[in-house]
Parts: sequence; structure tokens; C-alpha cells
Amino acid sequence: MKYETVIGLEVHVELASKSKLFCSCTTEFGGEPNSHCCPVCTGMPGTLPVFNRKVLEFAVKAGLALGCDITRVFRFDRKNYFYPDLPKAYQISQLYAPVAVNGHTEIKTADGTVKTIRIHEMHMEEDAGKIIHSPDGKTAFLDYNRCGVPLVEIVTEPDFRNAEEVNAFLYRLRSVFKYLGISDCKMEEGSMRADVNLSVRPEGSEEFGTRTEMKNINSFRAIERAIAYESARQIKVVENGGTIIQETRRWDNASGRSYAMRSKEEAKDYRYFPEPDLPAFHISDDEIKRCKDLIPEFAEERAERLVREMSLPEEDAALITASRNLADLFEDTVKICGAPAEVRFWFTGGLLSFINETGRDPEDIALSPEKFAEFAGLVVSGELKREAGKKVFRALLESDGELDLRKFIKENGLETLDDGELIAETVRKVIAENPKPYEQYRNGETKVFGFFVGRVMKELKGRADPAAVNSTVRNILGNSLEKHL
Amino acid sequence: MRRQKALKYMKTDRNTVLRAAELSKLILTEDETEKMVTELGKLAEIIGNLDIGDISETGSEAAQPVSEAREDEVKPSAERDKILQNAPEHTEEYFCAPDTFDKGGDE
Ligand SMILES: [Zn+2]
Repeated sequence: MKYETVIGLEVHVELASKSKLFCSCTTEFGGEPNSHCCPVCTGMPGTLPVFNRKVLEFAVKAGLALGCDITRVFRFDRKNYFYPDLPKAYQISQLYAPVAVNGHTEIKTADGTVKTIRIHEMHMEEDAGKIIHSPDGKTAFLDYNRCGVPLVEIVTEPDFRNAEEVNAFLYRLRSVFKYLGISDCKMEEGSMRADVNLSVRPEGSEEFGTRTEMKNINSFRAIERAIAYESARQIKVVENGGTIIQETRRWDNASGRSYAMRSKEEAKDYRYFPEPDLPAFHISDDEIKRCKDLIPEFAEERAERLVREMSLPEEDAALITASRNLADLFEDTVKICGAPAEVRFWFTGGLLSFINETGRDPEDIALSPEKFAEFAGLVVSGELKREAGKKVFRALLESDGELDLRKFIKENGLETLDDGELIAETVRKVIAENPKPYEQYRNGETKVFGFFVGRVMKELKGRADPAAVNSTVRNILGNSLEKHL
Repeated sequence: MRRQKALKYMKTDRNTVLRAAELSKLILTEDETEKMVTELGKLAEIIGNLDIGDISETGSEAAQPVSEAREDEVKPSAERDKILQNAPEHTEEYFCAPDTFDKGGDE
């Protein structure tokens, strides 16, 4: 029998507010253990949570971007569970009136298929702390720096059928959240985490099978592996006449397996009730409109527009728009200097390879469009040749956009050379220094012609016009050939 | 397809009490269990008698404009040695708790 896998997601994303959800401690990643803590986020008796309104703004933006209805009067609820990563023994979350409901977003898989994924709801909640288990298994060491950092949890409907769709959705989510500037969505730092609800059923069946929930999955690759493993496991159980138990399973990436969690904690009863320490909040139409106005054009739409308006190749447009910072830089630079082809040349060749080589975060590239435009202008006007420009552009990037371009060009002698005599002199020098290729050329091996051009360009630090070098080499070699005959 | 969110009144029987005890990490003796069934049962009955009707919109009229909520400003956190002193057990860096929790077992 053929089986179909049915998957729903719960995605936790940490929001990039400066301070925590209910206290003024910093949300900065890292730091000495327990150095970003106060009586509120360590759950001391007598403290009260105070809601950070920036988090609401971020959540509303996220909700709108995911096509959700925004709840006008939202509340917080208490989710009780007893585990040392949560010093209060409850998490402040939202159950009865989550901030956003009933959304949808489109995903595109590699073969170009477009599919709509429905969003059940999105709610705000606080993150938990980190537990370090002692080697003897007796003591839990607790670091509450992450405790109280704001999260949104996005709950999808079970609309996914394979890992590729799941990852397409997560990439889309990451791109949207980064464009909104509300999260860096770094899976490796845990600022984006996915729980996978998975069941299998015979193909064509309308009924859902019993699902399991896999937690602790923290990379796109791990999600693929976890889904492949768990659906194979469930199919095997069903085929052998067994039944799937509804349970939480922990994905262990090192062993490539999922394990049932036997803890009694899994007898889930969170005894939710409305959070008595916080009022209900009301969002006005104006506030929603203000958030709506701040929603940018997202990566995919922007890439399509760049292809349409500037005739960029699709791959280039996708690379450029992958980061909002880079896409803004590209478009603003083109606007200033009006030379899209030149900007694209330096962007895809120079800037993107710089990012790849150095592993820099595209969002941290500080080069200004004015500076980039100044550089592109020098090349367009011919003051700087592309070949010599490579060195300048690299230095510009390495200086974080601070480089004084003209000074650098002058100091390194990189300005364009239109001194025909110097070019000719250099050609003669290169020929004199390379008797062997010259001999080959005279014997009719014209392929060494390129060798001479390359050498001359190098001698001249790429400053000369390649066409001029070409014709000079041709002339001098040709003349010498005639003389020789 | 919203989650079922209506609150239900439960009958307070022996099972309810044992379940509540389990969730509260309490171990009750047979006598205590009996006592709880009676006492909690009476309490639940009083609450049940309140019959306050539809409370789904309660609180909305008292909702606070979100614009009055806190500004996103970082203030210094507590000094670590002071905050750690609040715990019965700690090291110089960490709070400590007994690690008796199941971390997942066999497949
Ligand atoms: Zn705090």
C-alpha cells in the first residue's frame, strides 16, 4: 500500500525587541550565564509582568504578513508546567485570544508548484531558560538569560505532505520575518525552532492518522531527516499491524533517530487560565493601519519586479533580494547612479562573493548606496577600469564602505591609463622577458597571443583599456613577425 | 477551526482529586484523598452555583489600550550574585535544581 505523510508545524520565532517580553532585561544573545536576569524573569514572588508593546507591533506585522485576522482585544493566559527551565512553573502564553488567527501564505517548491498553507493561529509567549545537565545526571544547572525573551508561535494547519514543502514554508517565514526586521531567524542560535506534527495514512484516505510531535529540531537539514525517519517509522508500525501512539518524540540529530519521551510531563495538562497579572489589551484600527503601512514588498515579489523592471536574470534577482539590506542597497545604488548593469556586475561578482568568502551576515553589510554609486560612476566614466576596479571594490568592502576611493586609487596607481606609449613600452618589455612564448608565436602558435595580453594587463595593474592592450600587442607582435621574415 | 476553548465544570470525584494531586506533585494518603474529595467537591459546588452566564466577553470593556503598555527599553539587569542568592542552591554562575527529569528513553 502507498502512504501519504501529513504534517503540521508549530514554529517558534524569537522576536528582536531590545528588552524582554515582561521585564526590561536585554534580549541580547549570549552573555555570562544569568547576567540578563531580574526578579521578574526569574519568577520571584511579588513581582509583576509589564507588557512590552514593541512585541505587539512585531506580532501584528507578522500576523498581517501571514494574512491573519488580528484580534482586537487580546489577552494572555497561564500555561502551567513544572520543569526547571521555567522558574515561575508557568509560562505566560496565549490560548483563548491569540493575537492573530486564520491566516495563509503561499509556498513555491523547487519544481515551481505553488501551494497555499493555512495558518491556524499565531500567539505571543515567553521563552524558557537553558538547562545544562550535570554529567552524573543529578543536578540541573540553569541559565535564565533566554527566559522571558519574546516569542511568537505560529501554528499551521496540517497542510504539508513532505519535507520539501515544510522547508519551503520555513524559508519563506524566515525571509518574511527578516524583511520585517522582527527576527534574525537563526536556527543554529535557536531563534527559530520547529516542532513537527506528523501522521501517515493510506493514499487517498480522508481521515487523519494518529500523529506524533517531534521537538528539538534545529536545522533545515535536520527537519528533512526527522520527517523521513518518522514517516518511515510510522509506516513500518502500521504495516506490521501496530498502532501509532500519540506522543511527543525527541529528535536526536546525532543518532538520526527520534525517541519517545517517557516523562510524566507528557501527560499534558497545562491547566490554562487567563493570566491574572496582566490586563486584556485593545488594539486600535490606527495601530493596525500603521503596522500595515510598514509591511514591505517581500523577497519573492521584489525579485519578480527586478526581473521585470531591470531585466535581471532570475538567479541574480533571487540572490540580490535574499536579504532586504542588500536589495535596498542594490535598488538605491541603481537609483543614484542610473547604471543597473554596472551595479549588477559588482553586486553579484564582487559583493556576493565577498559575503560568501568572509561569511559575513548580509544584514551587516554597511556599504552605503552613495558610496557604491560613486564607485560605479568611476567605472562607468572610464576613470577606473573593471580589472583595476576589482582591487578597489574589495578594499571598499573590507573598509565597511569607509574607503576614500580617489585617494586609494591614486595611492595604488590604479587610475585608468591612456598613455599609448607606456602600453607599447610594456608590451615590448613583456615580449623581451618571455622569449619562449615569443618563439612559439613566431612558429605560428597564435594561441599564446592571450598570454601576452594577460601579462601586459597584469604589469599595468589592470588600469589599461583591454581593447587598447589587445591592439597594441597585435601590432607589435605582427610587426616583429614581419621584421623576422 | 478554533480549538475547543469552552471551560467545563467537572464533577469532583476520586479520580479528579488524584489527577489534581499528580499535577500538583502532591502525594496524598488515603485519608487525605477522601477528605479532598469531600472538601473540593463542596467548593466546586459553590462555584458551580454562581452561574455567571456568558463570560466570554468579560474583560473586553476593561481592556487597556496597547499604546499604554511599556516602551521597549533595556534597563540594567540584576547583579548576578544577588539574583542567585534567591535560590536555595546555586553555583557562582548557575541556579541549581535536582535533575530528576526524564530526558527521553528508548525508542
Ligand atoms: Zn528580567
